[in-house]
Amino acid sequence: MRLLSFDFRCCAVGLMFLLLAACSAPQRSPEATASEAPAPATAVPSERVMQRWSASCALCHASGVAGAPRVDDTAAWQPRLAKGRAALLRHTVEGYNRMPPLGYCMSCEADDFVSMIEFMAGLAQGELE
Amino acid sequence: MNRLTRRSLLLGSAATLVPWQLSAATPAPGPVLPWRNWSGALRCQPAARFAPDSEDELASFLAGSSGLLRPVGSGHSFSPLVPTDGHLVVIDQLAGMASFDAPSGQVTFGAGTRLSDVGPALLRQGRALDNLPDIDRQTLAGAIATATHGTGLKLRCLSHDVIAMRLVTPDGAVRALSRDSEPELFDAARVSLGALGIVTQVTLRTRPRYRLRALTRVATMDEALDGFLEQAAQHRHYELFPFVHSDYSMTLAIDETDAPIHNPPESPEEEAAFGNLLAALESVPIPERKAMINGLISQSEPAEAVDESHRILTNIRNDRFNEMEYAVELAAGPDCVREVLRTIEKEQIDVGFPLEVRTVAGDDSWLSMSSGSDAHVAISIHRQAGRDYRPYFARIERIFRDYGGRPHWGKVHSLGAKELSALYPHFRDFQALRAEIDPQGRMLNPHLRRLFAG
Repeated sequence: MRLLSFDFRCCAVGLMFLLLAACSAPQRSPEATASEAPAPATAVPSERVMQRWSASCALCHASGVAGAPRVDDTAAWQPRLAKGRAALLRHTVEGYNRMPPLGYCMSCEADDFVSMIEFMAGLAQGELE
Repeated sequence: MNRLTRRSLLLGSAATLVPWQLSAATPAPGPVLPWRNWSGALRCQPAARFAPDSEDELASFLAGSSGLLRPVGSGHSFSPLVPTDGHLVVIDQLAGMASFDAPSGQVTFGAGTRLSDVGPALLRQGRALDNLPDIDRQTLAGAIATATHGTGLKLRCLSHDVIAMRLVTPDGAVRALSRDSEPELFDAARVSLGALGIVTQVTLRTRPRYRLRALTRVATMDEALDGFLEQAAQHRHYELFPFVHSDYSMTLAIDETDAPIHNPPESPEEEAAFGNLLAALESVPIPERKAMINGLISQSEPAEAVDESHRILTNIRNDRFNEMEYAVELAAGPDCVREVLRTIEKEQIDVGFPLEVRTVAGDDSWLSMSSGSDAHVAISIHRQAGRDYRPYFARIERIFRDYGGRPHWGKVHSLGAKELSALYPHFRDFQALRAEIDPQGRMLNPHLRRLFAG
């Protein structure tokens, strides 16, 4: 019998990375969307994305439970990123290994997941190809 | 499910499972992503997702639209409650503790709150729920809608702890339900399968926080089943995990304690052990499997953990699966388990997943699998995700049906309105109320139409 003691740990982890990212990359206007190209990279996912990430992906990716690559483990993300955007998105939607389909985010669309992956992997928003 | 010790379960080389999918590959991601349930066996392509930020936004949407819709929580149901080509209504933004009344201990959560967030939030108030299911990723709304339960001869399903709820019906009306306000709709809506509208808030009874001690050990199958009802009466929580194709069962007894917390986290190896074991077992020919399992399991060591109640009662399922669960009369429970095990062995059914045997006290909701005055034994069978569960589940379902079993609404079953109306005294009442609340059938997908409009 095990429980991930979710509490606010994931929020703290998320906030820490948001702050670090915000200090290291240029900002994009809040009105910009992923479909607008070309767009400068931004470090910070939207409030919508972070709300959904903390309520779903963070259940596993904050602590690394169930073999999930942790949000702060950029080395663990490298082999995943090497598979490319399409493969990562497909794995997220279909489920992969011990990750359930849609990663528990039932309200997420493709752009949300890409943004979350970029955030967890330490990429700037719009950087994942 | 609890774990056996690492030493006894961790096997060196696991066989590679052959992927097996129930339906075609997911379409390429488009503007609206397809939906799949937790196990991956169920899927659909909704026309759109709607994730309201407030009850008002939800009510306006329902009042101003007319198409088909289905609510989704965390997608943990194995029965096709969710699939729709209409709107998928996602309530994960309606989450968190809305209010807490210290004198009464009553707490109100957004219906999209995950069970994994309920325990820590209550602990901060010095409170806890009376019981919890063993998977804690579900939303409150989803768990209640399907009468999700833990184990305990005197403990009822989660729906019983609901003392008030807010429901937005398909016409956009907001209904405040409780024992004193629309009591019939309250009794129906506490286990509604999402057929009456969208639940936005749930008020629960709580109790002072408490600590639990869990003791996992292995017993012979005869010892476990012969003593099951007696042990279930002696412990606050008690359950069995009978190993198929073996002579042994794991037992789990949980009781209140004041002992200091001792609940070390699992290592990554321990997390992976159960899946590795299943894969390894199923790589062995069935006739040779029994000796292997007996030898392995009989050497396992008892394990003990002490922690706050929510951290003992719930766990993370690392390995995805599909599941069928039926509730049978208490006295018949052990015999039903024996017949399931005999059938699996006699018919050489190729499955490695243990059964799960729990008890649930009766409750007064209309459609809980344990509704009524008597306690039930709830028996679950599982098969790993990606493998064809249908022949196995269909065979064992015949046994559950022979025992007069009621299916868990969130798990695989094949029953329709005709069979269900014979199992639930209030089934026709529910059908009539559903037709009144949703005359256009907006909340019905093919599965629910078969259950309630068939």
